[in-house]
Amino acid sequence: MAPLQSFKQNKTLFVYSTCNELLQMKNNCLFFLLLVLTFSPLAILAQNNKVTISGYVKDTKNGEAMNGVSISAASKKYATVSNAYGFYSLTLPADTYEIIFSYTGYTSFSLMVPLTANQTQNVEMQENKKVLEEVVVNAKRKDANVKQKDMSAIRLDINAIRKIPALLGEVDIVRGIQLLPGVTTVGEGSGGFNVRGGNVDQNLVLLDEAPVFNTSHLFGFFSIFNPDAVKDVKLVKGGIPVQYGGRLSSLLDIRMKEGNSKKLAVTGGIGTIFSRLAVEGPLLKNKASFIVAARRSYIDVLAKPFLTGDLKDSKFNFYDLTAKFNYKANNKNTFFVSGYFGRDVFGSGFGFNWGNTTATARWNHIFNQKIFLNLTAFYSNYDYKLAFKDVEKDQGFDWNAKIKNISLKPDFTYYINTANTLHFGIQVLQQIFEPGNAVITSDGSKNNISLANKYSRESSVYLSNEQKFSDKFSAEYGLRYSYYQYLGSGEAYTLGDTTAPDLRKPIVATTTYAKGKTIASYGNLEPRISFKYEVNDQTSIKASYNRMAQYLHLVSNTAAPSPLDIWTPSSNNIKPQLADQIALGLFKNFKDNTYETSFEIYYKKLQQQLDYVKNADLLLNKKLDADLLQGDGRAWGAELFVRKIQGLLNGWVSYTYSKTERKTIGISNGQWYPARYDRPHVLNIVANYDWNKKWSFSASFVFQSGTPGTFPTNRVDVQGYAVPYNATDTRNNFRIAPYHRLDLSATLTPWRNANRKFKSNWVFSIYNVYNRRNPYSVYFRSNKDDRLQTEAIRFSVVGSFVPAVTYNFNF
Amino acid sequence: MMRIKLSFYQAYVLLLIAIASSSCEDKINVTVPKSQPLLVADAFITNLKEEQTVTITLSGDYFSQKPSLPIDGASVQLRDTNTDSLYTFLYKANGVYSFTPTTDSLTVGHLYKLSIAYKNELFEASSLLNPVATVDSIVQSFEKADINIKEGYYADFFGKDLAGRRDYYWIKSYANGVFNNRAQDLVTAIDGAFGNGADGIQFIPPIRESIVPTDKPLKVNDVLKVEIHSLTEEAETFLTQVRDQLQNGGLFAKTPENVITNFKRTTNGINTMIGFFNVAAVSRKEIIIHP
Repeated sequence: MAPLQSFKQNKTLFVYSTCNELLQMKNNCLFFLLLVLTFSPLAILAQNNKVTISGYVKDTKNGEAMNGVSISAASKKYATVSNAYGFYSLTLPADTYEIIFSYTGYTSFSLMVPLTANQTQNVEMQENKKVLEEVVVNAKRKDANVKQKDMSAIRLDINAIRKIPALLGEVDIVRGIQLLPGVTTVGEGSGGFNVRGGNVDQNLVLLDEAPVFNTSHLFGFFSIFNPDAVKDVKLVKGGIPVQYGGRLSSLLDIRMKEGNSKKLAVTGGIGTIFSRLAVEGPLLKNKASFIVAARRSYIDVLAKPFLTGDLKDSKFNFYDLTAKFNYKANNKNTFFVSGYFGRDVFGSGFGFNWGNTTATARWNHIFNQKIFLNLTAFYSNYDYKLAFKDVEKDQGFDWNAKIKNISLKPDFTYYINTANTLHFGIQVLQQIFEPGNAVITSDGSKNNISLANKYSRESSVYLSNEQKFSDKFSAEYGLRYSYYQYLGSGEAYTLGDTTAPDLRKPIVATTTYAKGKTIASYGNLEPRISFKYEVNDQTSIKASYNRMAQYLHLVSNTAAPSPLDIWTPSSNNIKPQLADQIALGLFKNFKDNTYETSFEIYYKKLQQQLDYVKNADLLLNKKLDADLLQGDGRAWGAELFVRKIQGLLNGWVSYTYSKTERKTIGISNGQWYPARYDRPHVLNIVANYDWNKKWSFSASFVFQSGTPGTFPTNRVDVQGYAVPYNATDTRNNFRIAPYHRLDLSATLTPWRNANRKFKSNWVFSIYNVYNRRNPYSVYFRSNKDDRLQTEAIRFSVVGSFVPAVTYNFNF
Repeated sequence: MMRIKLSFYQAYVLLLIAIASSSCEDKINVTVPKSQPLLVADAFITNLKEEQTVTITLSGDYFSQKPSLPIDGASVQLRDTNTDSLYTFLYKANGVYSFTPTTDSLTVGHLYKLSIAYKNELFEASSLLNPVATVDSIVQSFEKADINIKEGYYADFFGKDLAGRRDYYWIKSYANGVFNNRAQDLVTAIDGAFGNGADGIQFIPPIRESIVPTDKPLKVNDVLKVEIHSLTEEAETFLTQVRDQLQNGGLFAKTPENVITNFKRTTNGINTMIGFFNVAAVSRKEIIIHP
């Protein structure tokens, strides 16, 4: 078949030349080329007498693309699933078929098609009103738990997240994620989350494909994602597909709504913390739509009249703006532009603000019904600014730091036939680090103590094949090759030896590199494999292995990550982090897929995990490399997840047993010790009950083992200070009390709404119902009046129950 | 004008606490692991012509309500390695060994070695006597009560870091002769700031303002004394660790770590000595608060 052959050649050529030009990695490229060629016979299998049906699946109500719709023909002999953009492609022998589109919560849609030639079928699916009344927790393919090849992956529909009782009534995606098995945090109010023993910087958080570096407003109390603009959220903890790389432990894929393409719609709410407003609607009927969503905290507005004197100029707010625009030029080309801008602003005699900015442009192109391209270009920036100015005394300082990412990623999906789907593409990621620009003004004279920028580039090529070997056995196997360069201009330090491994290393030589010169480079082959074996229609066994490489590191030695933490690139001294993970799982559905259960076990080996020398200086430190240590990590665990996805009573129960350890020369006598976020037992229960049309109730309960802490053995008296000292020098030698909490919420939807366009509801919630003072940490100090009186202090972030009311509306 | 706390870092932690007004700290009972006896030498001495002391104790349980056990019977000697002059510290009481210079004082730029012999074991530590910046002036000001400031008299000290070299200082302040000895009042400086490249500048605001804690303002006729002590790089690390380990609470607590020591056992033995030895040059100034 001529076009196919030529495509194959083109593709080979494309990958090859890309390798040479972009990656400068001759030997490995050859390997990759060989890999491409080994897949080629698959392409030839595509025979002439087969035809392809393809198209987009959308929601009738708002025109949103539907991800994960099951499309099957001939009693599921041929089947596929729509992708994140709603695109599907199914190749099958020429014949007449009944093609069935199915999705939980939606009326199945069937189509009798005489397939003699390739054809395009765009489909709109309608919500099933009857099911809707019973509330579907998760909109997706009914038997996805068993049938889809993904394991260690959970998709949460935004509606499911909305049902979880929330702190101060603010629907929060990251807090929702934290109720899933395998996910923990160091404590309440801390930013980020830990997945299967991974550090917070090991999560690839993508908002419409652009990475987000800090997911929190107000340190860690609220996440930056506006629920009104989010369509769905998928967390992948293992078996991460080849398309993604650069972080070790998870992928949190957050997809924004495209905007209602049928009618203008407004959603909003007034909560305890935020006021929200989102507007979406068509620009050109069925061709272009938009959504703009904004949130702002308003405590400062309310507090304004009460602030006097020096506090009059106090600033205290956080906000975010999310917008997306899409344009469907024709059946083959769709364009998306989306962006996020958010900041936290504090100030009173000083200014402190931080935030993320992301922008994504995407082009979906369908080459020939079988080849789908998503070309993504994104820009992402995280920065913070600190400033203090005293005009009277002519003194002050200005300090800011940022990390910028720019990337281009063409990603291809080639639907070869019903048995094989190929994913391949490349990604080039340019990173600019501004670790600290700071100017001190002291009595009129300025002292610039800024650090030089750092530059790096990460180039990747990847290829994988999803192959169905039989009705029961299928696999996805592939390889990602990432090549990293730490680039000039910059200085590279050669570090000397120290008397003890936990001390700052001396700089013995400094080499200066010109702009664009490679200071250090690393390449990593990252195999990704997952298997699925269907025991029967209701049961499957899955297994996966993945290797991940991470070239940038969040430098943070505080209990919770702070907005001041900087990211630093791998250098000649700091090696890339690596992780290998194997996971095995049993998946079973019961009662016509009403109950989903899964049981997974995993083992993860981590290399080059960051730690710090004593008295490490992590901010505005030119010679940061000298203060960093690297060591090993390991994590293993078992996760049980039972979810009821339909019915008046729905929700989930998850229990995780896990162990996370670290070993670093110079820390804890060089022995394995539990990581700061090691919580062996975690139980989460989320339950929603729809009592009647007016009232629905939700509850969530969390139990987590306490985090470990380092407790002192001795009191050392020097210079009038009673200093805690651990004579065994073992880290995390004790565990603080367990964390447990119950939250409740009730949603009132007034009766009159049924026939009105304007709909509203009230959400009443109580966080930490039984008023427990959960310890965040225990620390030691001397009594302020008598230094001999040493004390252990329990620090609780939330020390009482927190009630809240939120009003939501849409029209 | 707004007085700022020691660092912005603390300021925003305060802000956080203000926001999450329900956050709280409680004193609780915990069982800590059993202690191991550790010899501790507290040896911060100066070149002032006044009594210099080295205190040697045996460290005990963290929650012990008793003072550390004093160690007597040690032999404590200070040697100027440039001149080979030897100074002997004599035991007084409570683990304190004392020496009062009579003729010459210790010399800036010289390397000093402290030797402590105890029960057939010898422990040694060295310290360079670094020069110190001068306290040029202390300027008082009156501040009204504010969110985290009590009403009363405060002061800034002015002084310029020694240019062209990396300097480490300990800023010690005394109200009516009483040393501000809380961990939160322990202030060190690297050059005129916090060691990120500034050199030869006036001590920057959080440092110059640190001499009167924001919860302990002064009254008229109070005496405020400011001293700058020169430190070695390691001594500055040690004091920073002391401060950090003693107020390591909150959302952004650092990972606890053991304070470093510069004492080494130079003979065979089984004991370990921790603590620190530093010889400082000192500059000082005092004012009486006036209306």
